[in-house]
Amino acid sequence: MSSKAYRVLIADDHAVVRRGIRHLLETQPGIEVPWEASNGVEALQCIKKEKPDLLVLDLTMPEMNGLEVVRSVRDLSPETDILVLSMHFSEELAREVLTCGALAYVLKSDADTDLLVAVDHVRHHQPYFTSQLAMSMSQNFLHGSSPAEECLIPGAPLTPREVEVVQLLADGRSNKEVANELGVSTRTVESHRNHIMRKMNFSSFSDLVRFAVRNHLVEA
Amino acid sequence: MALDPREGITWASFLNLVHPDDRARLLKETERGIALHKIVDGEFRCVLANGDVRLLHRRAVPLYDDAGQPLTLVGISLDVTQRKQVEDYLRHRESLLAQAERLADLGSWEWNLETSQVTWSDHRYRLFGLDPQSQPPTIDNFFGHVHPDDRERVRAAFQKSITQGCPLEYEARFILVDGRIRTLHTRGVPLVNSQGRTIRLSGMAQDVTDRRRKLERLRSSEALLAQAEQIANVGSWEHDVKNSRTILSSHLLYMYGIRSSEEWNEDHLWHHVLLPDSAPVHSDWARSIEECKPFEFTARYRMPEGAVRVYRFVVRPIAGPDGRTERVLGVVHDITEYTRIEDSRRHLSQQLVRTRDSERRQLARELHESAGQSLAALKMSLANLQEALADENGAALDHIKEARGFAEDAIREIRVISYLMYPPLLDDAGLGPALHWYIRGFSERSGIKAIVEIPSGFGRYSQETESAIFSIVQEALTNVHRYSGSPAVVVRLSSDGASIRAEVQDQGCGFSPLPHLQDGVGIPGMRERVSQLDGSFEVLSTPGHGTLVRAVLPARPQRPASLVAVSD
Repeated sequence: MSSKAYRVLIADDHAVVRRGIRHLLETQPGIEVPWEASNGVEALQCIKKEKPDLLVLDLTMPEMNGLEVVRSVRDLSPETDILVLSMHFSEELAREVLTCGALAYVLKSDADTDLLVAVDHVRHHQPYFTSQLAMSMSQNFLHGSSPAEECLIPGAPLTPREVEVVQLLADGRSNKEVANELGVSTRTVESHRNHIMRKMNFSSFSDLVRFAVRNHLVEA
Repeated sequence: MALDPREGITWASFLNLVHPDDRARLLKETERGIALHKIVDGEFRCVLANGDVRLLHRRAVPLYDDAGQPLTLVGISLDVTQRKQVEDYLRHRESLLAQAERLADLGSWEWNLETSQVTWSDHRYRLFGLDPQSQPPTIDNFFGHVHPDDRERVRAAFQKSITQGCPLEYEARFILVDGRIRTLHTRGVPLVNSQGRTIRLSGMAQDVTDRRRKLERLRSSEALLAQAEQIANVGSWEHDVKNSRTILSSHLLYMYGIRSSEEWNEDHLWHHVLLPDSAPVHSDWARSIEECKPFEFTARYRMPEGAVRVYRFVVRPIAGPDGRTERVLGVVHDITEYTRIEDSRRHLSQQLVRTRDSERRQLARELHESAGQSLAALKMSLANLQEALADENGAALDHIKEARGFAEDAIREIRVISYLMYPPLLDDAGLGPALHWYIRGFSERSGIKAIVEIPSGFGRYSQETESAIFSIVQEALTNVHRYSGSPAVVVRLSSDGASIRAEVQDQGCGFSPLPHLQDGVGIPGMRERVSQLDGSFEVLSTPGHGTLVRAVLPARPQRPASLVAVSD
């Protein structure tokens, strides 16, 4: 984990949403939100100038279509990762957004639970889909068109970051210890944990441990 | 008397000559004359030796002696056979004339101007409602019976004929003695003497009341028809195939911009009818007459002065006894106004659909973008609040969790409502994602397996185009679900750069392409939407082999969302 702060640009035309996101992110260690933009053009101008680490981008904004912004960011600042916030619950749209170069697709209505996990993934350059789409999407995505990603555990649609979390938790670490280890807040770890339980259909923590042992993520 | 005068004659030999049928009467008349001292006057027939029968008129005086005893009968007999024949002939002719007058409802008259005497034939009396035996009217009396409105005119006609010696002709109403009003048509000729004075007028009068009434009725129904044609803006014509004659109604002449039927010929029609290609109509017309089958078509018609009208032509051939077309009746209906109204109605309904769509779209966006986002923000705030309270207040945390649940529900409801109105995804992400989303929901609701074939990189098109295709697919899928009974459906979109093709194909029951079924549920709406965007629309269906709905629209590009460039 670098000591340098992770600088985020929030682009959303709704001030209340920007404020909510800012509050969520600023609770996280090492994350700063120095900029905000209320439309695509402003966002691109900022990116060109400041080259932020992360762009949290609302897909539907005036002045410029979100997808166009995503494509432009890739040209203007390849090092900036993009997390797309969308009101649309659409697999096709999520896939298209990711194809255009974004790394995460989060349903805005799930931002309260998903945003921190998504940011944590993106910060480690791992893709993330909003939890409601996660199952089908990650399967499609991981088995499909993106050769850069591989499925770590056959039959388990877990992201590498989630596998890391499983490993640490199965090793007997507490949420707080995992948080320290990964350099995130305990809240992020809790979110990760909830997602993994839901994705893998675990009914208890012992299920998670059994899964980790069976797949040789931890030593029995 | 076919006897030899030298031989003399006896009473008995005379009686022998008398026709046996007249003999007794002759004797009786003779005896009576003698007895009463009166002249014997009478006719009898004689039969000559050669068998001829002659009619004799006898007039004789009986002579008496002093004692008053009859002495002799002195008299003469005249052969009146020929005179009698002439009389009979005249009587016969008179009765024939009377009969003819009666049959023709014709009465003859004469007015002697020198004596002021008026002579009428029997039927002339009857025409006046009088007994033929009554006194002929005086000339003043005659004028007194002319209808007051016609009287001066009749008087003037007589005056002119008398003073100028020209033939008389007039038609006037007469008030008969029984009060009836009849119309008489009168013709007369004057007789002029050597001094050039008219001394007599004679002529005929005919009762034309019934004929006049029929004519009036005919005229008024003709006028009614003409009026009706004018009001309805319909013209009619009749063509006689045998002599190739065409008669056009007066309103049709007006509609064609010509003066008379004589000016008319087929070339005129085809010269003024505006069709992109008149050949098919030409041949259909000919076939209609050949096969004696009705035929209709609509075309624009250029009036001689240049104005263009829209006419509907209806052609009805009428078969003769041999089954071949004998006459052709036709109606031409001016539907210019109707067409104009229809066009504006279509325009209005297009506008209505557009307005409705844009309102729904706006409302859906408003809900989705504003209310939805605020709720998302609310959820984040609640999450932050939950974090801030940490483990301090268990009861408060429970409330916050519950509030987050409510917010979640509200978001879900808003999403459903806005998507049902108009999927915002369509504007934001285009047809591919929007149709995938919609069709997935359709499959879940209906249990119909749906295969979506949309090529990757299908691209974005104008909002109207995308919205039309989306609603056509929506409508077609609704029909598949409601009527087809198909277990599966394929939705296919493709584009060749110039046009977009959208197809919805099922494997259901299909329907027969009967005209009244062809435009089934929702199909007119789809057709309308496509025509608004200059596209083509078809529904192909065979019973038992499913239905294919196909819309092809011009590929109008999406209006760029923004031309703002990020300056270097």
